[in-house]
Amino acid sequence: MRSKIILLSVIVFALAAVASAQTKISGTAQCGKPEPQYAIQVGDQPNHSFAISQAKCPYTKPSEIAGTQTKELVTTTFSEISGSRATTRGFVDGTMANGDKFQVRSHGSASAKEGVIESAEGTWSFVGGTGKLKGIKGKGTYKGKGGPEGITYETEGEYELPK
Amino acid sequence: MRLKIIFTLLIALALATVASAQTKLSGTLQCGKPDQQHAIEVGDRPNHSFVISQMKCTWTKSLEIAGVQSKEGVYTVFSEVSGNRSRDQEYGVVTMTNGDKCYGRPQGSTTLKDGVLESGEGKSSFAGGTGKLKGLKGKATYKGKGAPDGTSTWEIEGEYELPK
Repeated sequence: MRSKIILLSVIVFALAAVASAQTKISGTAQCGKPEPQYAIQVGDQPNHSFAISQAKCPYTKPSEIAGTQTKELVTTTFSEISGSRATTRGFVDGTMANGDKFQVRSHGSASAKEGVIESAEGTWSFVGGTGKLKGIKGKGTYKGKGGPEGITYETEGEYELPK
Repeated sequence: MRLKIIFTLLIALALATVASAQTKLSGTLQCGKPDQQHAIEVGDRPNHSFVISQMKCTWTKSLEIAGVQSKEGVYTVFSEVSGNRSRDQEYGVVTMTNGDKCYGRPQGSTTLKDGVLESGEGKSSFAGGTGKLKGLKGKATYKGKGAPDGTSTWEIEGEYELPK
């Protein structure tokens, strides 16, 4: 019985240690109008297209990673648009206030009205980093709300750095 | 014991019926240089880009689906290019000789040389059709080679099923 209690305590301690290694982050970035932006109509039905675009997104509420604040993102996105809905795949190149970089992949969906994105949501994961962010791992979710001047993205997630 | 044999025979018959509902197909597709192509450098490292393109193709050895031959196709492609490799997601619109259309979603990878396709391979699934090909389902594999002038040739093998 005593050995069972010890084993259980060790497992709980180990799980707590793993959980504490993940640090929570959140932030808000304001993406301007995509520039450049290209689209090709697929041709099977009206308003079905493949599109790629790139946008610059300064943080209006920075995240803090390893004691440094996020500064801005450059998002490059592929969208398959069908009517007012789109599925998206993105690659994000992020810059920290100290010049370090991080890279993120995202997958999600978006809805649009008259060619302007109204809302977007999806998941993201870190795929690389430089400087203090070398070896960064983590994932999270994002939600975006669009307007005529671009999209505001709110992100939440967690990260872990090698020890 | 007799019950077991009857049960096994019934399962075998059911499997054979399912298998026969899938009809094999194969063909060869000759594609021209992309008519449209746009690229954006991602910016994290050199030669990492998002590219969309579209090309017209003709079937030099037609697919036969429900007794109708494939004639031509238009393929719209998204590629994430990293150096001399790319991962591709496509949408194909194939026009048959009777005017019916079928749709496919190929996904695969390609090797590039000096920015031009050298070889590629992947898998594709049918995503429906019109006329006699309405409700088309199936899957295929493809392998292709590119020429220095930007044209490419693709061998396709697979199977399809139509609603009864």
